[in-house]
Amino acid sequence: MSDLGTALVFWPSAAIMLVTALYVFITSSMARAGLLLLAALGIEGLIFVALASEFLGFLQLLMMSGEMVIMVFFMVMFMPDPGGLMGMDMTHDKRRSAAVAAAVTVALAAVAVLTDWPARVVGDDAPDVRAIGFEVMGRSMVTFLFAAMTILFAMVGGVLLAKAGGRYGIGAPLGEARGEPGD
Amino acid sequence: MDLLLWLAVLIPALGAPATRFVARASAPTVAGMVALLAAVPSWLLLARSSSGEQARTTVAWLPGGGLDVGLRLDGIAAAMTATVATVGLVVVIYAAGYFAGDPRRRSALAGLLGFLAAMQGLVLADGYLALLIFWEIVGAASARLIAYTRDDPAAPPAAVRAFLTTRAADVGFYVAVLALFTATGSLAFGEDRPDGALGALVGLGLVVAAMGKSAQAPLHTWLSAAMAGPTPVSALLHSATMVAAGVYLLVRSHDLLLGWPLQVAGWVGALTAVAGAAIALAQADLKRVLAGSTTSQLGLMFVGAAAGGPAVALFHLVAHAAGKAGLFLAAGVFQHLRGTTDLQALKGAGRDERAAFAGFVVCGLSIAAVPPLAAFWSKDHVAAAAEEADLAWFALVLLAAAGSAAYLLRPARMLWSAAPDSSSPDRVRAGRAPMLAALAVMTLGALVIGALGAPLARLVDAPALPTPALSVGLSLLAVVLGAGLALRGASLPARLIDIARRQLYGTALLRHVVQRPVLAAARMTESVERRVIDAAVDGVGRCSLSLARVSNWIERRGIDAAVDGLAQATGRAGSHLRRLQSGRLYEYLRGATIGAAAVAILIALTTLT
Amino acid sequence: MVSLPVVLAVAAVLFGIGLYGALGQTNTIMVIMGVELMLGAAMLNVVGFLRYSHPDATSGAFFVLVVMTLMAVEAAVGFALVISAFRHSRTAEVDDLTELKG
Repeated sequence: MSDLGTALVFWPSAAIMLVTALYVFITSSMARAGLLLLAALGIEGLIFVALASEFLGFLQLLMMSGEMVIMVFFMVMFMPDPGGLMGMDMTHDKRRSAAVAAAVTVALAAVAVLTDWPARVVGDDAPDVRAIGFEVMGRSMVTFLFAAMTILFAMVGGVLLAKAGGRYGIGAPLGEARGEPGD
Repeated sequence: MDLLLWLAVLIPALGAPATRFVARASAPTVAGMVALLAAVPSWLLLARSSSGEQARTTVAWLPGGGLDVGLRLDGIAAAMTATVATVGLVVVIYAAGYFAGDPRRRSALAGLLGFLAAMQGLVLADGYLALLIFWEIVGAASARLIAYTRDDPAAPPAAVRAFLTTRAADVGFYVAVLALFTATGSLAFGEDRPDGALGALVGLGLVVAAMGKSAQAPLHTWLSAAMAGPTPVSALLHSATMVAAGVYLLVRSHDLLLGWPLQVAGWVGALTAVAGAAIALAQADLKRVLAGSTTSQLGLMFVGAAAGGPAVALFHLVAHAAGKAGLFLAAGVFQHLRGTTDLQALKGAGRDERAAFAGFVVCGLSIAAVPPLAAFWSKDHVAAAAEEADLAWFALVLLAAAGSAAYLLRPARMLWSAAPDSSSPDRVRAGRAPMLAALAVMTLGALVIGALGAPLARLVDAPALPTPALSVGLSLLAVVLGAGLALRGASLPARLIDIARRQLYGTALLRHVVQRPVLAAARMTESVERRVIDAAVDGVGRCSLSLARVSNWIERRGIDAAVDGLAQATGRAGSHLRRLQSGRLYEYLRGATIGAAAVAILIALTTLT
Repeated sequence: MVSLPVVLAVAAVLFGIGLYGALGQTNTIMVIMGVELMLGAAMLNVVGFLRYSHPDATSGAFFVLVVMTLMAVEAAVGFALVISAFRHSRTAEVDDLTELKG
């Protein structure tokens, strides 16, 4: 994109993204929080696209949508008061965490702004999908494999952890007798 | 010749245990045989020496250093050894009869033989070291023999007193020997006295030792007490041989003692001669009379040694030995008859034992210096020598002569006097024969020894014995006066008798001069030890305890408190640090974030600046 | 106008918001959401570098790919853990899950 186009897309997107991200933690409804997170990360994908990484942007949009929807399902299923109708305050230590977060933000921003970043390396605009494919299947194959294995383990582990009797397979009926949350 | 010297000492020495352990019945015979055998070498030595031979044999037990011990033979030694052997033989034969019926007679006879061996060693010694060794053995033997009578409660204290007195005087001997060795490096006879303080120590020490052994005043009290021993012991030791060892010492050391030591010895002897006579006059016990007489006669010998030289003293020694031993032997016979030696109890015993009384009279006349008996000649020489040396001594000698006549006549009269209340019949005791035989021999000796004067002088290489007529006449006069006084029955005032009975306060003197200061010093040192030393030791102990308590306090309050405090601080720190591990995820995350930020800042600062 | 510092600054703010959520929320799911935001900020950083510093760095793109994947995976595992914890102690609050307390 051109600089102007980039700017036109970037600024509003950035603003929305930051606001929605903030609201994730302000709202008292977990479902809404999940949806707001989806919005924030989706807009981020849009920013990726604006910053000439189209592949990554679309990928982000794709993955985040699926993930957040699952998250919302999960919350509705398992959490008490997912709608936030009772107005629970889900925060603690608001001031201290805000202070820490603010300090870190300021530090990072200062580094970002004040550093004398080196000039742009002359080259192609952005890597296209083909190049990324070659990268994945070529040079970064080992990393890709490890990432794949990690996913596999995570899947298996997640299923095991989430199973009714836990790892040891002790009595799913027992879990049902205790009663599932969310009734 | 050397063999004879050793035999003279060894035969009685070996005979003593032999006598002790044979059958009781044969012990007297064995003892007599041993004594006879022991006398043979001595007579042979005398014979050899009179023909001019001399000999010496030593044992080098300490290589180098002039400390050899051994035996020698010269004129003086020959005369002494023959005397000791002969008197010993006679007394052992007497003892065979005296101890007849005594179940312990083997012990007594063995003791006498052992003493003989030591005495022979003493007279045959070749130097001051050997002389000192035998001197001490003789003293120990004497104490043991005095304490022989176990029934008599007075015997052990008497033995202790005898031993202690002579031993105390022997300190002088030790001092003299040490001084002599330090000054000259040699302990042989016949040397001159070294100069200066060491020489003074030598002279004084030897004179003191001689005084103690010969019971001269003021060390005379032990001899009276020693009369508690058996009569043969008194006859052998305390009249003829052991007490004469002091005189022998003076004779041997004549060259060493020339000058003022001999003067001191002479004065001591002269004064003791009179004092002893006075004591003898007042005693109520026959043996104590004889003890006082011995003291007096020894004093005369001291005067002889100081004034006239060795021959005079030796001649009187020999003559006195025969006479005094005879008197004691006779006293023993009376003792067996009446069971005591108390003069009042012995009244009339002379009539019951006329043979013994005859011997008593003859020997008594000899001691009283009635011519032509032996001691008359010898005492006469003493008087003459005293007249030549110092008129004061001469006067004292005459006084002593008068006294000797008196103190011997008194018991003789009492023995002969008819005792109206003598109820004990004539007790025929076993063993009279040997006793009377021995007495006869002694009496014979008292009769004839007078002729031995000149040969003796030749033997010891001395000038002829002095015999001026004046001294002879005055001596005879003194004897007559003394006898006359005694015959008339004059008695001294009771007060003087009491003083004389108290040994002229000799014992009291010793008690005040020696016993009290020593005990006071002992008490003082004991209190010092108790108050000072023990207190110091206890104080050290208490100090240690206090130090221990202090260090305990330090440990408890200081060190333990520090350690415990450290432990508690560590625990508290742990409790505080525990809060990091809260289990709360967000706190971990917060900590991680802050830590990562810190690291990032550090890196940024270090790399970008 | 949009330059590297801007992008990085925006990413910084996003990171701060995510950190605020991770630290401040009591529910575990919300904490996971905060972590997702932080990861998103990191990805934004890389994309910014990709655009303005090293356009031909395919390894950067691959990095973003992997991070995206791991975001999802981590969320899934997190949910499984929450289910398990909920079954055990009927709560998903971070304040209550303190069994690792030392």
